Amino acid sequence: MLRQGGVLAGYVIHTPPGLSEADLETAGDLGPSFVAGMDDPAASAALSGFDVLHVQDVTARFRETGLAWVEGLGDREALLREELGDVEYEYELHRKGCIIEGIESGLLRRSFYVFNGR
Amino acid sequence: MVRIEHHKELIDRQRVKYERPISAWTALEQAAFGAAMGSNGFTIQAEAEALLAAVPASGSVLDLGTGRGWPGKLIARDGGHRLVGLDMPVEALRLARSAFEAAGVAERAFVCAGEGSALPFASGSFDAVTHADVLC
Repeated sequence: MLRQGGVLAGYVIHTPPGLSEADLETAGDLGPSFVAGMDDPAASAALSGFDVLHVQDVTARFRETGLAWVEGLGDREALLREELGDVEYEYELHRKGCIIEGIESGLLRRSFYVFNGR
Repeated sequence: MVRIEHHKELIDRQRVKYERPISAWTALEQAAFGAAMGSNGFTIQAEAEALLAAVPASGSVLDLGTGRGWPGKLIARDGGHRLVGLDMPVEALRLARSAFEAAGVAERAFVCAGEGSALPFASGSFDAVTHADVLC
């Protein structure tokens, strides 16, 4: 759907290269469900016919954003429990916490990339 | 290694997320990030602006996994691009449509139901494709 020479740009949460099977399994549990299928977005894009224009590791900001979510969820717990219900509130808190755990244990990264279609 | 077996569960979870009320969630976003983006992901305002800077200055953009329309609405509003936001849950697309209307870009920003593995567009339809933390 992208024209020749068009741009593919985005943010992707992925694993670092070289993880063991066990670590990949853990990364998949802690991160987004599809994270364990991606350890090198630039290489994957090159295989798909894209040239890499820009890749930037934004994991530090990813962690900051995750921590802001958790803090905000805690600060507004009563209102959010009322609005979302206990199950959804606990789910959101758990998922954000898992992602922070994944980042801090070196299993999850986030990158900003810009690719150019050949 | 991709956990396809969880796909349906994931989509169902996304639907629940998009159906729930969000006024307290919006207040949380405003306090945590200084802007109510309509997201529950990790793409903050500065990152959406970096995405806009990365795409061609004009033309058409396909925003994959558009969710509630973030960051697609920023690209359409601030960049003036024609934009299609693609996602699977219809509940998300309704919210994205509302976000595009609220941002004043409904005449050039549209929504479409579909998934990334079977895109309903002809080759060469877009000058850029964007996505931000799809399925997280």
